[in-house]
Order: sequence, then C-alpha cells, then structure tokens
Amino acid sequence: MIIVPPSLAYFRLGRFRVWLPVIIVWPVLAALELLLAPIALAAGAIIMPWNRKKGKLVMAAIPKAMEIFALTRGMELDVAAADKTRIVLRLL
Amino acid sequence: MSEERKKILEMLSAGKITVEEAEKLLNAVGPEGTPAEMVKKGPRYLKAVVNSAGGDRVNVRVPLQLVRAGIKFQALLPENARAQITEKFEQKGIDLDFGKLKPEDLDEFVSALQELQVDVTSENGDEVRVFCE
Repeated sequence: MIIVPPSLAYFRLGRFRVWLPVIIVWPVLAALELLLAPIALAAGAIIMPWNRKKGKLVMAAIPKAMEIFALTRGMELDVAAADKTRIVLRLL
Repeated sequence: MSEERKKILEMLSAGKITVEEAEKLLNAVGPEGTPAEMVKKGPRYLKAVVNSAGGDRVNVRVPLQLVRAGIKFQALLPENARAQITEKFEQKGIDLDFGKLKPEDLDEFVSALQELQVDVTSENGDEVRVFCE
C-alpha cells in the first residue's frame, strides 16, 4: 500500500490562519533520511551485540519516524475554548 | 488470487466448464486488483469529540493506520521504557501492559477499535464521544 504523506497543513490560532505547503518539506525529509539512515543502521549494528532491543530501535528509528510522519495524513485537532479561542491543525 | 477465482480456473482446466461459462463466473465474482491494491473497506479514522458544559470543545481525529504503527513501534521500545509506560497507565487506573501486546494481537485490537463506540454524558452536561469513521 502506497502511503502518501500530508501535503498541506491548515493551522489556525484564534484569528490567525495559515495554509502551509508541507509538500515542500518532502525533498528535505527525503534528503535527511538518505543522510541519516546509513548512520543509524551503522550505529544500530554496533549497539546490537550489547543490547539487541536498543540496537533494533536505533536502526528502525529513522524509517519509523518517516512512516509515522506519512501516516499523519488526515489527522485533525480542533480545540475551541468557551472564550472563543480556537486552535485548529489539519493535515491533508 | 481469491479462492472463488481459483476454483473457477481449476474447473476450467479440468474441463468441467467451458470458457464462456468461466468468463461469466469470473465476471460475477467481480474484478480483483493485486494484493497490494486490495484495501479493506472500513473506518479509517479514530475520532474523539468532547463537548464540555462550559462551552469548551475538543475534536481529535487520528488515522487508524497511525494508531497501528504506534502500537507496532512500542515493540521496539526497551524493556525499562515499556515498564515505565505501563506504570504510568496503572497510575491512571488503566490496566494495560504493552509488553504483553503481541503483533498478532494487533489486528484484533485495531478491528476491535473499529467497532468501538463510546458515548458518555455526565451529570453536568459534559459529552464525550469516541468512535471510528
């Protein structure tokens, strides 16, 4: 199954509203992942003989973080206080 | 390939049905994509709605896939971290040991979550609803 990360974010704080093009962050995140993943793999491989769980955690950290970011598509948070203050975050 | 389609093709290869009959049966079974394309239809989000009597309102919607990934991720956590999380849950009165949650239980847990519906109204008018959509 292809997971498409969120491409747009809508943020509202009181009267301040903004649409953010999250899609422009994708290449940056991809570059970061390409850079950090081999380092995390190597670090995990070094840690594993001493602590298998920690080693696996380090190796899986970068791909898991990317997966979790991608799966936030569709997430919504809408908090409205009685005094009409409102915070909205939508990831589309 | 689905079981029905397999049976139809086996009957065709055994000569029990003609090509035209096989075609009719395959069309009746319906189109099929690759296993990767077959997506289970069902609720996709876990939603929590809180309306307090004082006028505060909270609306949270979380993709179920994210819930699943989060639970899978806990399997990678070190023992002491999981123990601390379990302890915090116990302090809040929730008897949930993440250490005992196996990956095979995950599908069952998420399926159960899809049928979850909580609808609570307190004496002073606070409303809490948790459901999947």
